[in-house]
Amino acid sequence: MASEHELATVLPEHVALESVDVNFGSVTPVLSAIDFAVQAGRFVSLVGPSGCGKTTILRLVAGLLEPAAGRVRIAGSPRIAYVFQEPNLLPWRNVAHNVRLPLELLKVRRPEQEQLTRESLELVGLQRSDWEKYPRMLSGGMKMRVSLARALVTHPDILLLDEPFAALDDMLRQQLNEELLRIWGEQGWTALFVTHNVSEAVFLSEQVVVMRAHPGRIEEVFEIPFAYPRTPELRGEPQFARLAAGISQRLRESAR
Amino acid sequence: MKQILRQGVVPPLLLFLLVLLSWQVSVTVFDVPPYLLPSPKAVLAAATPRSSELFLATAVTGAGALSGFLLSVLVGSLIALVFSQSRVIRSSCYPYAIFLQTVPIVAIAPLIVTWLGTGFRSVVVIACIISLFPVITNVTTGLITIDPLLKDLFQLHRATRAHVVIKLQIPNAIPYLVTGARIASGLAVVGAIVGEFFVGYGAAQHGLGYIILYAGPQLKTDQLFAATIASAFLGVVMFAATTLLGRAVLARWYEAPLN
Repeated sequence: MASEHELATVLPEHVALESVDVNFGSVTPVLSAIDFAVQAGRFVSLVGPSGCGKTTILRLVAGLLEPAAGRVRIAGSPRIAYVFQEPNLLPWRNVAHNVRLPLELLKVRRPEQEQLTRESLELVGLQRSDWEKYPRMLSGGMKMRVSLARALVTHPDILLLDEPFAALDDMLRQQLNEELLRIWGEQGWTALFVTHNVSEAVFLSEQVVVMRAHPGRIEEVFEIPFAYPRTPELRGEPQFARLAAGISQRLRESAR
Repeated sequence: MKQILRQGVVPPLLLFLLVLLSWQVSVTVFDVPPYLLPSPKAVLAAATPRSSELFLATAVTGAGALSGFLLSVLVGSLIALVFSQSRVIRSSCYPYAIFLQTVPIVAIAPLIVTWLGTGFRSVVVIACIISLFPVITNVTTGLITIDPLLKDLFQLHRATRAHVVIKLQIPNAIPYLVTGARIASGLAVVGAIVGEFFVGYGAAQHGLGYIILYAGPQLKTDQLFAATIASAFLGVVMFAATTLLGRAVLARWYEAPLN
C-alpha cells in the first residue's frame, strides 16, 4: 500500500504509522510491521541499536521516504522540520543566512524572513555578534544551535531530531537538552527525537519507544511519568535512575 | 601574506637559483657546446638585447592564454551545469567531453584555421579546447557531489529545481571550479603556444610559440631557452593568480583552502 500524507483531522494522533514495512533494496527488511502513533504536542524519543530503523522512521514522517507496505498518516498539513545528526550547515552562508534558508525555499516575504530569523536566533541563544560568522568559525555546540534555529525558524508543527547532540560532550549535551525542553515548552511542537542515550531520552520525553534491529521493530513503549518543566536535578533522582536502568535492560534484551 | 611568501615563494625560488647555479657550473666544467645546452649566462645574454621582443611575445601569448582560459572556465562551467541536470545527459555527452582531452590538437588545428582563419581568435579557441576538460570534470563533480542530508533539507522545504541549482549545487561546486581552473590555467598557456605553432600571428606580431618554432631549427638554443623560460614563467603566473584568487574566495568558507 502506498504512503499517504493525507488529511486525517479526525485522528487524535498527530503522526501515525500503520503496519509500515520498509525494505532496503527489494528484499532486505529495514522496518517490519511498525504500528506507532504520536499525539499532538508530545515529546517522544526512539531508542534502539544501530540499524534498527530509527532514522528511517523520521524520514518516513518527513515524507522523504515511502514505505513498502502500510501507511504513514499525518494529521492536517503540518510544517515539518528536521534536525540532522550533523549540523549540515552550508559553509558559504553565514549563521543568519543559514537559518534563513528554509524561509527562502518556502518563498516567505523578505521582511518576514528577517524577523523570523532574528527570533529563531535569539530563541536558541546565539549572540548577535555570531550572526555574521561563517560555520567554519563556530564550535560544535554553536553549529548545532544554528541547525536547531534553522529547523525552528519555520515555526514547525512537528520537529524531527536525529541524534542532534550525539557528537557533543556530556555537559553541553545536557545544557542543550534543557534548552530544547524550554523551547518545546514555549512552542509546543510535536517532537520525535532519536537517540542512543537512554538518560537523554528519559530526561526529555513523555514516551520512550524501544526498538530492536534486523528487522526494525517496536519492542516496548515506556511512559515517562515526570512532570514538566524538568530540572537538571531530575537526573539525580532514584526514580529517574530506575526508569533509565529498566529501559537499558530492555534494550539489552532486545539486542540478544 | 608572509606565510605565502615563506612557504610558497621562497623555497621554489631558492631551488630555482640552485638549479641555475648547477646548470652554469655543469656547462662550464664539462664544456658543453652552446647549441646543445647554453649556459644561463648565455641565455640571459641572448634574452637581454631582445628583451622587448621577448616581453611583447610573452604579452601576446599571455593574452591568448588568458582569453582561452577565461573562455574555458565559462564554457566548461556551462557544459558542467547541463551535465549535472541528468544522468542520461552525462552518460550521453561525457564521451564527447573526453574527446576534447584525447584528440591531438595538431589534428584539429587545421580545421580551426579553416573555420576561423589565422590569428588571435584561433589561438584563443585552441587554448580553450585544451583547458576545457578539467573545468568540465571538476565542476560537474562539484555540482553532483551534494551531501544527501542537504538534499533532504531542500526537499523537506519543497525547494524548486532552480533553488537547488542556485542555492546548493552552484555554491557547492565553487571549490571544484577553483581546482579545475588551477589545472586549466597551466594548460591554457600550453594551448596558446601550441596554437601559435599552427595558427599564429605571423612575423609582425608574434608570441612565444613563434620564437620557439623558429629558434629550434636554426639552432638558436639560447633564444629557445629564453622563450621556454618565459612561457614557464607565464604558466606559473597564471597558476599562482588563479590559486590566490581561489584562496581569497574560499578562505571565508573553508579551513585552509587549497593547501
